[in-house]
Amino acid sequence: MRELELLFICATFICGFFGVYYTKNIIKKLLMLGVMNVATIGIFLYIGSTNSTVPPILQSVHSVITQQSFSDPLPQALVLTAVVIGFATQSLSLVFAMYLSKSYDTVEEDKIEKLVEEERRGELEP
Amino acid sequence: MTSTLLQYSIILCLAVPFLIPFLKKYAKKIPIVQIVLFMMFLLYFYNNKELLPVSLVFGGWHLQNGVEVFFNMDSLLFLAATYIVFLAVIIYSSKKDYNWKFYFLINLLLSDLTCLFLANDLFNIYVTLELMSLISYLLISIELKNRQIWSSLKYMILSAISFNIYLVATAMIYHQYGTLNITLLSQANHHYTLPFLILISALLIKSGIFFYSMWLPSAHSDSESSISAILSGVIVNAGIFHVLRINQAINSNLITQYLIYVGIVSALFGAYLSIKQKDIKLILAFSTMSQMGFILEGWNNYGVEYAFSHSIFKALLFLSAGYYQHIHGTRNIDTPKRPVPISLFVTIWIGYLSISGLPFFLGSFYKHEIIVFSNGFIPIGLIFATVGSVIAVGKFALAVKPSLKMKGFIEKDTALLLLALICIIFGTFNSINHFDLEFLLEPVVFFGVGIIILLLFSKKIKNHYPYKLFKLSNVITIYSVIIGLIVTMTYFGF
Repeated sequence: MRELELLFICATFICGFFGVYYTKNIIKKLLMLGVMNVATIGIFLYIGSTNSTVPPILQSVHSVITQQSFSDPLPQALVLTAVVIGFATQSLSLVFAMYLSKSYDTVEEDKIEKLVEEERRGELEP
Repeated sequence: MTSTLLQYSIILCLAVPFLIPFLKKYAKKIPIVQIVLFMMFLLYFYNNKELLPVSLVFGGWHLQNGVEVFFNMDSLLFLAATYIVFLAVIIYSSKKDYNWKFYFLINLLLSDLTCLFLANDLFNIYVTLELMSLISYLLISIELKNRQIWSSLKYMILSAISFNIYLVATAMIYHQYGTLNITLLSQANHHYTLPFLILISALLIKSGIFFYSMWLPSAHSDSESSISAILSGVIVNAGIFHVLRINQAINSNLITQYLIYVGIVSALFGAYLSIKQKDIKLILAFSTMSQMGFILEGWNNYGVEYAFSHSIFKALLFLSAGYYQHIHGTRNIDTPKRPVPISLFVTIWIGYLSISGLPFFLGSFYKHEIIVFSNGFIPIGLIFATVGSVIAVGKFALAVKPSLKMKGFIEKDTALLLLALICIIFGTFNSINHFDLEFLLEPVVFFGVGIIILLLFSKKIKNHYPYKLFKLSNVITIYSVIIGLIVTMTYFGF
């Protein structure tokens, strides 16, 4: 079962990566980056739950704690930071994509790249 | 005492940027106060080297699950370069009508970089690198020009891929070792190569290495000159610093060999493409890729010192390029010689002679040592890269002539003079301390060869920017090839 979980996580990561590679639409590219991010978070959750899937919260003051009785809290704490940072990056990139789509009237990567290159040449060789 | 001093310095560093929104009137002065205070702190440790390294775990936690700060001589050099470049940039852009938000971002970036060069565990490196990248995206696109925004977005997408790869490697390392602390990782008996290779490759994407950091030429050339100086002088150092530190900690033969080959490819391709440009900023951007290769080659031998030198002279050259563009309204150098104020002429030449590795200029001794102590065919490649950088930056230095009539700008001259003085003073001390005939002659010969080639063949060099190589989809193809190669390398145990 655990192997199957890992397989799904890896498949999600690869889907995200090839999604970023094949899509020419910038918005879709950014969404696929989100998919990659989800897979990364999945890997951390998978590692945290190696010993147990019980949340690391004391049920009562007298309960006995062993390393095997709850999931590792450190990867969860780390992943929380990664989620926040991922959200910040994604929002900023969407703002940039919005700005470019307003200026060029397209969200296709190839067209934007061509237009930017023309603009650059025009600026350098007046 | 030292750890308390370090602890309070970091807390102060993190608090200072948040004063700016409340004290908008003093937005320009607050970063300078921080720089002066922190420079005094660095000078204190430089004069008391026996106190280093200092290790501090916040909150008194155990090293395994606490946040550790590690301050050694390498961190000191990288921090010194960062603070000097930021001081020069703030002075350079002091007359521009930037509002408090610009200074807030600059100060936040400075504080973040301070934490980055002190971080000693893989997750804090990730957090500080991400914050650094976020501020860089904003600073690149500060003028809201379309090409700046596109460069920024491209940088963002490639960085996001690199950070995801970095996190996967971090998770693998945590799973195998139960810790992310670099000191504890270095003490482990056996090292699994694959996660560390992936981790270092992800960091190389941030380090300005050719075939990895393909976002660099457009981001560095499209942004405003003072931002380019920060990007080329400081931001690329952030990745390379941790590449060098992790490599030293892991001490794996395979990873070292990998870095050496990656470094020489970057040094050669960077130098070759910088020769083929006519836009000053593109020349300097490709030259950064070439110089980063030199730093990787010096992983165990003056690489850190060369990174310090590179920060200073590259910032000097980028600010000079901005000054030139400000006067003439162009960045192209295929026209007849253009007049510039004497101060600018002198600083361009000081930057040029430093990057060429001539004795009595900053970085010359370190460059020489890196070339001399490399093995196999690497020195030959590095010599070609050195001659290449003499030719490429020489195009800029030979495109200007001094003019007595032209008046300079006081703030720009002051900033350039500060960096130029550091180049000469440090370079002279260094050269006198390591004075021998071989060190004096070799760089002069390389410089002479480069200048002769430039004078003879400058008109025959065809300008070409490999636009297709830097296309977003092609860069992602390169990344998939690199990851495939890494997995194959580890699988067959090369």
